Amino acid sequence: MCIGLGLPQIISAQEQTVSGIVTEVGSGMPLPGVTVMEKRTSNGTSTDFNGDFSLAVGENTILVFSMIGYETQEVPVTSGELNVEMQINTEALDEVVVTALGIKREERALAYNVQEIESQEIVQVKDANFINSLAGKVAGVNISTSSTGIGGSARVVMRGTKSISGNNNALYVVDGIPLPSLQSDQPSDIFSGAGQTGDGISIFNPEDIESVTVLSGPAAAALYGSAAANGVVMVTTKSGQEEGMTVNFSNNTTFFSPFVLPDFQNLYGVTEAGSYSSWGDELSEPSSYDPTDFFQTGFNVTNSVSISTGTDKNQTYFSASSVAAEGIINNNNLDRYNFSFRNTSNFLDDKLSMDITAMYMYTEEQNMLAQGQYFNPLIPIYLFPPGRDIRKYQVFERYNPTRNFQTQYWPFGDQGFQMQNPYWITQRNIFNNDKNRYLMSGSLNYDIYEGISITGRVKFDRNNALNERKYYASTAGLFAGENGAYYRQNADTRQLYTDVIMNMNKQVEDFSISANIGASLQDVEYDFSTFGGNLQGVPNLFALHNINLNQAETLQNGYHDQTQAIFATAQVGYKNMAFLDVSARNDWVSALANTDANSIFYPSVGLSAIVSDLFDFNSDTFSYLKARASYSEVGNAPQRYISIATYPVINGYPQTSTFLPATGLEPERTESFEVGINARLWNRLKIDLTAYTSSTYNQLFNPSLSSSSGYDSFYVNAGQIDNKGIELSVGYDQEFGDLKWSSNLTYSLNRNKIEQLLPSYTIEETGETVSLDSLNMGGTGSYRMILTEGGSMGDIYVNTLRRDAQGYIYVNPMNYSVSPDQERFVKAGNSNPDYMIGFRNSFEYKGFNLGFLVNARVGGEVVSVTQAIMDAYGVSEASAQARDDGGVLVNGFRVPSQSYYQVVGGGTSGIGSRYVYSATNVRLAEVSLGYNLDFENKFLGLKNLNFSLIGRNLFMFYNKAPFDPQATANTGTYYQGVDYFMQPSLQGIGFSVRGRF
Amino acid sequence: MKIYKILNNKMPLIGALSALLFTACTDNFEDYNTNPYETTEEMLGYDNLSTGSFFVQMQRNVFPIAQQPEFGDEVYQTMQNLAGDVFSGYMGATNNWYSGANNTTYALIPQWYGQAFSRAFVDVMPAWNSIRNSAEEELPQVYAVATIVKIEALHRITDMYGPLPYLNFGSGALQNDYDSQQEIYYSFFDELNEAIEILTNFNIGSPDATVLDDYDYIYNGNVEQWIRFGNSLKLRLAIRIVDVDPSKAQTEAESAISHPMGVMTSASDIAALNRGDDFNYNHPLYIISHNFDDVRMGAEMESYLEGYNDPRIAQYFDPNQDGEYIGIRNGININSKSDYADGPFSNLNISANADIIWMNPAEVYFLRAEGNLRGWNMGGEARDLYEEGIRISFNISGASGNVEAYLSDGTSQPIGYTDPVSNGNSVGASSDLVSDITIQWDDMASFEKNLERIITQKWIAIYPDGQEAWSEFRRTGYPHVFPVVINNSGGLISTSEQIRRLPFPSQEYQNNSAGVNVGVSLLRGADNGGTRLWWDVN
Repeated sequence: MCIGLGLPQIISAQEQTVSGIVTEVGSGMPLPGVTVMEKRTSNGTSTDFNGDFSLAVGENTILVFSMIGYETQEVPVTSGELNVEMQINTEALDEVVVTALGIKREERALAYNVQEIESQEIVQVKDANFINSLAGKVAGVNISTSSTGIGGSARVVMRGTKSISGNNNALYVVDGIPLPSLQSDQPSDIFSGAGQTGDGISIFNPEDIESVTVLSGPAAAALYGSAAANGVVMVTTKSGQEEGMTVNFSNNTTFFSPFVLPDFQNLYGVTEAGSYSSWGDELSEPSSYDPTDFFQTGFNVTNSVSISTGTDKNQTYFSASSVAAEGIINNNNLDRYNFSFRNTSNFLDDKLSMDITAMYMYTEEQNMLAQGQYFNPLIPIYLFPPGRDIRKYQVFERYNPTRNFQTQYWPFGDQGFQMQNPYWITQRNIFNNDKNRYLMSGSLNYDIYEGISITGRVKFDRNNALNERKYYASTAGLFAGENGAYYRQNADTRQLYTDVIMNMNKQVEDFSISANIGASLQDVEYDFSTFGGNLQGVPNLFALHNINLNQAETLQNGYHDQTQAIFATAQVGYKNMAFLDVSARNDWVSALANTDANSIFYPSVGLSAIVSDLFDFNSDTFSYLKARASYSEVGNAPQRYISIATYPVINGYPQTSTFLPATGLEPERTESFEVGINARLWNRLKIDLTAYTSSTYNQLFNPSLSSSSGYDSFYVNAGQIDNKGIELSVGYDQEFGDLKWSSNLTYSLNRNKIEQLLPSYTIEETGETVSLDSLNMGGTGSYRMILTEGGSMGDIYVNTLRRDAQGYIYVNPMNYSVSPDQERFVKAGNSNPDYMIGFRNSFEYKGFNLGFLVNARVGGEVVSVTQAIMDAYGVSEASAQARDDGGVLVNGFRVPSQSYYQVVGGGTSGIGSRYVYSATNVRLAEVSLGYNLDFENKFLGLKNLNFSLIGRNLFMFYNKAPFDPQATANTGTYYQGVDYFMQPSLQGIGFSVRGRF
Repeated sequence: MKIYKILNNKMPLIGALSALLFTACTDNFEDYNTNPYETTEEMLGYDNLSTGSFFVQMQRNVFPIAQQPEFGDEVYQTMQNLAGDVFSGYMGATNNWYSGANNTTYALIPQWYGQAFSRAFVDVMPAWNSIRNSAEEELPQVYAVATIVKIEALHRITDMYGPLPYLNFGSGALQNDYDSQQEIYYSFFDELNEAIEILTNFNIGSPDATVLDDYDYIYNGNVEQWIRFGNSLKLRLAIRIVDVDPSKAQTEAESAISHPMGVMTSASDIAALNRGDDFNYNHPLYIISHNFDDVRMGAEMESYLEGYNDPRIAQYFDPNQDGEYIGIRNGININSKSDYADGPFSNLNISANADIIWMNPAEVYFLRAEGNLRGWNMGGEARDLYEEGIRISFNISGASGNVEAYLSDGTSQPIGYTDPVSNGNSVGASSDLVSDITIQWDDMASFEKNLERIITQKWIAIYPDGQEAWSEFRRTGYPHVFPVVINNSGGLISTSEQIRRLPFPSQEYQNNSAGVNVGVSLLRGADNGGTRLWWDVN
């Protein structure tokens, strides 16, 4: 067998012509577009509009008839005429999908939208965090990538944000069992952002994933009760195969560079000797200083191997994988090792089955920078004056004769931005995270009786994270004493989940009944402790016993949450055409202890009908049409600890509580309703359309109180957030001879509205009334997220320049200067998109495949403080342009560039209203070009080898913002749509090699 | 039918499973929902914690020290440093927060000027109230000491805002009306008198007994010292209202002096937040000046101390690299923080281990000197009290110069100020803005001259308590604090009259609008920084 880029083709002698008509079984309709191939050759054709075909073939040959949605048929050629009837592939339409709690259901019976992603689509253009690979591939989901670079978390919001104070990120579920989120504190001000860490899901090995199912609506997730409101990403992991042994290996190598950067100028130099701003004279020749030179080529090399083996009684899967990555900023590293083991076995005449899984993940992260002033080398790099020689400062430390070791060299001070030598920051302010995660699970399933089985599962999940911060001596005084500083934090999360579910399936005449009843317990313990401070006697000895105890920082906190639940779900089907689905769950949540509510009840009901079967209008055009509707109520448990008064301890002594203990709390509730259709046209076009509304009420508020009460705040339930929207996905497949084309489009639209904040509310204890019609969720000096009644979550407000009586920007006629208006914040827009589109195409031709994904996000606004500060320092292209133009035209006046930009970019945040950008962007998100080799006879033991070139974030077709609007420093709810010296998002180019033995 | 039967048969199994899962049921939920890292009601009963620890809380918040993880030194910065310190001429800001439109240029920042109110009412008052509830009847001496600390904290707050929701605190109401500053001051005197009486009786009954000594970082439980501090505080408050209510002022002042234990006289009487084996903190000014680099020596300090050749300059400030002392004027245009933070300006000479001083005996001598100047019986003559005040200030500050020579210097005067970054901020030596007051006492001088002399020396002596210095500047007009160069108040605050108070916190308008509006009606003008307080009548 020869190996080459062209597969060997055996051309048979064409000795006769076969012709005929292909029709559909039952309807007798002729089928156009059916592929007709002579077996074992490349000789083929396809049927025309009348279902007719004609093909010259060899002797004693076999013809293969295939078409998506139909069973493939092989027919021996016996004469010159061959009429074939194609059977509809019912399996394709009755696809089984995994739903909540791991319960498998026929897709046709579901009353809500479920979207499945195959592993291929996740590993093709692999990201260290596989969640990022879902962007644009699922409707109704808004995924923003964390700006922490490789291995960071993703912000995954389905069908809009719903909770004002709670979590709005999707719930992750692996093999039916919910995972703790492990999300760390997110930067939400202008200072923080260094030393980030990825969340729990980001460290999974994508190769272990069989498929991902997205339940974007609460109805689908209702069985998860609390936390289901945000939708669920369900991961099904791989298990061993039943026969023989397969070994898979893969290597993915990707190289990174910054994707979107602001524009810099290189014409004007430093204002005056020793200063850091660039409002000086035009340079004699353009500066060669290029801030982008600071970035290195990052890389990610991921190697993985998996073994799958077994018999029909016992199957085993094992995988190992390693990630070695470096970011685009020097000394930002990620190393990860994943090991996974799974064994499934059957006993007692296959009545008892057991499934055991063990996973271990070890992650080392270093210097994960999201944004902010502190420890951010990008600030001194971006603001570095053109014309100066950065190389002088690349030698970031110099021998200090009085101290007898090397100390930081940085003659420019902190500039009010806590600036240090950028190279010192990357080499001498070190943030390390070490994470060990163990997951163990076991499940037993027993078929008690025909159609009745019982499953018991238990899963233990433990994550131990050690975070260390080391600041070398001569680090800025705000962060470290003269000998340096050392901090050590431990965060330990343990979750025990166990459930018992009984499944029943029964067919009674025309009715099928399927029911589950079960109980579950989820127990999560979290322990966090930190100790650290300035170093005592020995510079740069990072050890706990070298910490100055007088100024040491100690902190410990944690929790123990438990949820106990019973649940039941039942589905009644009529002739496999109409289905009624009901579910109910009752949660007992520990956070409700000492409140008036002691448990939470969540119901859901859904109805679906295969309209095409019911009214029997299956045809060529309408091969399948399903209509569905569902309603559900789910919720979020309230915050723990607020119903029982305790006294915080400061420096070893308790102090008075700052909030009024809340005993009247209720859980937050989301009521949602969705309707949808799933249609197949011409058996090629697949349309899934869902429209939904949801209303989340009993929001938890923590309004402030007059300090004259002795309290800062109290807790109360009120308010309502509404979301409505549309999810659409359209798939189309077509074959043109050897060329297979498959195309997929997703469209997501969501509208969020703050129906009510805190209407006038009377506090029972005192009879006093409080109300709230706007809520400031924080931001920078120039940007805030403010919630207002009638507004929308994600509304961005910015400060402005002073205006005159006519509403125009006030320009002082004396010196042509503008001035800030500190008090007034105006609405600039919203950080959420109007709608998003993902457009994916793949082509296959004789082993070659080409795929690309275009993601478009339309609407929404972002604010760039980076640009403001760059303008103020005179390093931006805009500031050079303004100088060339002789000033900035404001309200008919030409305001001198320097004075203008030092106002609009002044202070630590500038004037937000001058730096609002459209967030609309269209990008080439993924590209892959591969070649697949199938070896009929093994080659070096290989059955299959695939080589691909891959690209991520290759190109922006449209983007007006000076940064990537899909990147976010904060993967929580607020502090969205703002850039405060974020690390740029990554552009990746690389290759992958995958093989199978 | 059949399904029902099957279900029925299996029901016991489900029941058993549920029972297995829920045997413990939800009994532990209260435990789980109780924060294990905080103190429970029961623990508060251990070792008198409910009084002792709340007493510690009060001490931590008079001048707020960092209370990690709740807040750091930015609280002292906004409440004390960017209010009193920069209005008193002690220190000058290096930073151009909010593009230069901030407190230093009279664009008062709500998050800053609301800080003092929160600390007083969220940290000091609830702690005092808890102590009152548990100790007023059973341990009146504990309640008395806590009350003195409360007044030390709260008089500073009313001197910032004026009316406060003070008298009714602890009633349980979530919204409270404001009381006039006069009512508050009268209550201070009543409360102080009651506390001093309780402590005096306690001391007579058991002379060697201490109060809360384990939790007292001021006097270690020494009752006599608490009485002297109470009397001294009363004297300070009395002098404060002398212009508006002279007879009340004289009565209270003379009763403080005539008390058998009297007022602070020796250096050891100083009221300062000491450290203990189990209590430590960084002086916030150290963090603000050396870590944040947000503040440096004030221009006025340079003008007076340099002009007087005052040796205390070296105790208060570090010379710059050239060995000079250069201050920063407030209310100026700052293009870039580094111009001033990294410029040739003198940093504060303060160590992280310095004690926060609540009141020092030098101040008490100057208060007595002023009282005597007004003809009151202050147990001494104004001249002697004035000179003793300077002597004890030299002593406390550790100044190395010859104090007697200093006292007899009748010629040295404050000098002009030169801003090395921007000459527009400089003040010529002959300017009216620079005082001609000298050091040496002069019996022949006018009342006003001698008052200026006393207040000027008190201003030097009580450094770095800018809050008290600003209050006395507002009452007397001394020393000569340079007016702001840039006034961003929009006409609300007069540049020449300077800032007179802080506005009520914006949150109060949101959460206690009826109450705060009562407060506004009790002001002598609108709720802004230009309105004078009750005692501010000259």
